[in-house]
Amino acid sequence: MSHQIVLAAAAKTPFIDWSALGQVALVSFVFGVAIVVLYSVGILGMSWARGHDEGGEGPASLAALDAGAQSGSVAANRPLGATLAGICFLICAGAVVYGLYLIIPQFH
Amino acid sequence: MHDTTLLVIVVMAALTFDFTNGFHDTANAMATSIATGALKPKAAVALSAVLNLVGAFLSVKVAATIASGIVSSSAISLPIVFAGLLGAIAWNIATWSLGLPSSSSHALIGGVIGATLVSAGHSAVHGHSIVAKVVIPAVLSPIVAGLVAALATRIAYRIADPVGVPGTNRWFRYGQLASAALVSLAHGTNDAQKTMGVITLALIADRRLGANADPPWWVIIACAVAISAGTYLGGWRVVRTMGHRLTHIEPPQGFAAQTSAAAVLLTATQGGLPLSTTHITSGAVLGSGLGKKSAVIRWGVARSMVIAWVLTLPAAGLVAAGLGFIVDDGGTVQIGVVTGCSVVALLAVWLWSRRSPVTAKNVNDYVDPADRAIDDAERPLVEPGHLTGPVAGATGAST
Repeated sequence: MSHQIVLAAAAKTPFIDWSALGQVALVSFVFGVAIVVLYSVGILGMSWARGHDEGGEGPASLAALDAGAQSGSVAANRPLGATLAGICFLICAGAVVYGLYLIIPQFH
Repeated sequence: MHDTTLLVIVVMAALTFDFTNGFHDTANAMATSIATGALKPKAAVALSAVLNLVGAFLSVKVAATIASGIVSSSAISLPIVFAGLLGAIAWNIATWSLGLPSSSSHALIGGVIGATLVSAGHSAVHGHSIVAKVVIPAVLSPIVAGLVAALATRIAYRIADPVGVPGTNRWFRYGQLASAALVSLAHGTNDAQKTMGVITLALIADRRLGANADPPWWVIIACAVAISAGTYLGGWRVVRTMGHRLTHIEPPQGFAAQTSAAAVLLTATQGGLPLSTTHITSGAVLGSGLGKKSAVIRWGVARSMVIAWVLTLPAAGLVAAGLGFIVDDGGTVQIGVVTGCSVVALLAVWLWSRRSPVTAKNVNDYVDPADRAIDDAERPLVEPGHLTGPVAGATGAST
């Protein structure tokens, strides 16, 4: 009972707007991580499109190269990589435009 | 003191603060780009200066009060604004000389609170609103930005680790530039506006403008130029701390940190929470260090930085309160002496800083031998220059 009264009082005059803080934290978490993931996938796609298989020249790939021929999968990955990169970079570019829209007050 | 003379002094102090705000905050947008070699130091500050200038002209919704809702606007007088500004300038200069990132907005808020306390008493300061609008967001924002950046960094390395996937560093640098540009532009729209608000407030207090008036054109131009000149000067000490001393930043980390900072900053601004760009970016840089498994974070540097954040409000407030006590009556002699002493003090700190200058040329060098040992040990692992083309080569040459 008394607990409810306290809650009601808190709702009437929010000392600290926790829900706004929580929303901002959640939205920025989702957006921040999503953009980085998309951009990273785009970079990976770009790398495939250029004919680098994962780890093509890096030290980590030496074992993979030893294990077997990679050229077939590299060729197959090229169009897929280009498409992936195109889509991801486009979405990221969209995010930058949306960011500009948010920053520039004349737009809204 | 004659009102016009006092007004001119207050305007000069406000523009000086704006200038220090510019160079103190260069690091927020550009430190990671400078550290990863996405941009040459001079090019980075030039880009940031232009975007700050553009941003300052874009802002139409001018904050009529410096610390809206934090002190009673009826308590504001010219000497109080003057003392508040000097407190903020003093803190900005002190933290810059130590290379510590700290919030210019907090310094200004602290200064105004301190000066108001002396002149109008504690009833003119809205304590709960300081906690709700300033303190809580300041504690939470670097933590949120750090968590976002840590997870983003972890995933970026999982997907496109430059060691495993050659050529990715260059693309991470490009992405980082876009995020840095957004942060710069947002900074221009937010921070230049604060000084415009201060000067407008001074003009209103002096009855040269009606209440709720918009800032005159010369105020907008002067503030835009001052903040962008400060940005172009570059707060290299702070850049070095944020870009190198907290942790070693590689391109995927720089991209993840700057993008997380931009996401938090834009979301918060949209949600009506005025957060400090400095806190967000510093938190994101630390997070990008936490997110990479082999990264070394210098917690000693981070601790000094957090101590500076905690001290910002009280320290700027204390200086402003002391000066406010002297100049409150608006006496010519007092204001003259305070102005003169402030100029001398600024010159002294600047001269002291010349003993170990940090410039565009040496900002990517390390000073601390312990740091150098760590970074030498890291470099062969993290900077495979032969895989990443000319941009990586440039970084390698400059570190």
